[in-house]
Amino acid sequence: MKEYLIILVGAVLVNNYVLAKFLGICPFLGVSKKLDSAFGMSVAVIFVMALATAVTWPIYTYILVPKGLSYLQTIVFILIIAALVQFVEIALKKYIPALHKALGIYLPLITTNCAVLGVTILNLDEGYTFGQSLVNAVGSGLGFLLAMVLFSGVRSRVDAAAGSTPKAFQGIPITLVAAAICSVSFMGFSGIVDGLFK
Amino acid sequence: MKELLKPVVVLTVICVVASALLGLTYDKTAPLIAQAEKEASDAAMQAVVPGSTTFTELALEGMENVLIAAKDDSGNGYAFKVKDKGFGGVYNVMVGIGNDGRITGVKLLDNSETPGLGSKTGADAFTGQFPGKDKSLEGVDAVTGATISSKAFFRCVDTAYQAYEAVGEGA
Amino acid sequence: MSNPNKPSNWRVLTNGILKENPTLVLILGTCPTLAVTTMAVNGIGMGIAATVVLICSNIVISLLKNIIPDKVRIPCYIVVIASFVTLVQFIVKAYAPDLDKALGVYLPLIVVNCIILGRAEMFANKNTVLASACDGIGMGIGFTLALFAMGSIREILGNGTWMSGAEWLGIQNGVSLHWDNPIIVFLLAPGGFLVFGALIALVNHLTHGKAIKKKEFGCAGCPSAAACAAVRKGGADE
Repeated sequence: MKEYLIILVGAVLVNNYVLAKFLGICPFLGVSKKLDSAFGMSVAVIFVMALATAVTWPIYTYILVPKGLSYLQTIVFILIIAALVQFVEIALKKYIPALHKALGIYLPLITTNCAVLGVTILNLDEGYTFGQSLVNAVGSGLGFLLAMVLFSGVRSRVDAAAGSTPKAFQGIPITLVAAAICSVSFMGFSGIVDGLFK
Repeated sequence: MKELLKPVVVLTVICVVASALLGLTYDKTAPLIAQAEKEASDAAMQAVVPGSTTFTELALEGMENVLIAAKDDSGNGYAFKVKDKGFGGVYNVMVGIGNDGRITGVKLLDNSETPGLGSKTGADAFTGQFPGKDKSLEGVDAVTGATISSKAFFRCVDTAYQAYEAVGEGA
Repeated sequence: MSNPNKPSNWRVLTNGILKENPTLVLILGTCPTLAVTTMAVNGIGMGIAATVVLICSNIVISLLKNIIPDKVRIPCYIVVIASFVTLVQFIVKAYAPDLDKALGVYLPLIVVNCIILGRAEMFANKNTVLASACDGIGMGIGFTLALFAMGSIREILGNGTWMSGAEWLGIQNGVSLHWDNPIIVFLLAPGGFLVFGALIALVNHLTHGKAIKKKEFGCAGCPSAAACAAVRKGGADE
């Protein structure tokens, strides 16, 4: 139990995918203008991350490695993720139209979200078991959600003050500077795992 | 029907051709990659056990954190490649232990520590403290601002000593 | 050259380096730009790896543009790109293992670098092989230069060195400024965001805001631009 908690807290706060590992920056900059779209996107990401991990981990461990095909990891994983996203979209549309209406537009964006491919590869690099991988995937997704939601708040403030921003910094540059400050605040969590659990 | 079939056929053909080409290049590059890894590993072993040239790997049962345990062929000591978890994830250290049970050298290998902080546990200022110390590591200071990485390093050295005792010569 | 809508190959090549620099003007491929640029040499390494993939995938996709059915084009592009990424991984692992360790997970993640998929979708599937190769070279050089600039700033300020760890390029030791206390924060995540923001602002300033205004957010180059725009529009309606 404790090891799962350590992985979870580590993934959400300490090694936050967006603010510490720089994965998923495109949606972080692109879809964080509004709180509800930031939230919807993140929920879709958590869902796909967990699903992708649940599928890629067994395929890698029980098919690719025994057959000596582990070098096909990148190509197989990205195809699985692309297929999963398609499949989820079709399934949601058919069986849970309400959810599809809420999350559907975010799904096509997720195939090329490097956080999803990143989490499936990193789980194996770290040598996590299946259970640990799933916890890490959900944790990383939650970390993404936290960063997105917090940042959409920061961003609305920054955008509201756009008039007083120097001209060269308007738009993306000031957004990145704000992200830098958010990232500083997350550095404050760096000792938390050691402090809480040991 | 043809409309439906063509995309599937094209995608399948592309996948098969791509995998076949990759398989071919893998066969060509795999020995090179293995050699590069072995060279890096050998160089690290030689660096931590001064005076050594070739090593014989020792079988070690039941210690999953010890990746390699090897004995210097000219009898200068032992090298242990040990893994642990650092701040950013994977953290591998090569530890050299002499016949007198004192450390002959240490070297940080694969790691994903933060550059400028945790990565300093790989710098000479830190690793240079180890040679000549025994298991207690008395007088070795952690890197300021990189406590977690330093602790991981100390755990690696500890694991290396367990392996050293397990191979029988430490007693 | 007679057709004004078809720029010459030379124009295509230089466009990627300056006017449509993928990193600093189109704002594509942000993840590797921020993640690997703690050292100047890592920026060069990532830049070269991505450039090789970009040129090769541009050429192949341009060759196959009449064969690939529209419906499955994105999966086909992904397979082509992923194959070249795996190929580059083999080469880097065999000949520059230190670079492989420095780039880590970001090497396989070139697959989802939106510069590459973006150029396949925006350029290679509607242009000749030669033009696509030029586009790949130009975009690749532009990406590499931007990463090199970011890596240099962060390494000099944050570590007090320049071009250290460049043994695989044949450069020994690099330059050391012998600072006792470099500004470590530039090597950490916040420094990445800050330097990237400042560099874009600099480009903005030098071009008087023209570069960015023309392509707001650079989303035009991204394969999921339509979906992304729908998301933003949906958000703005409420």
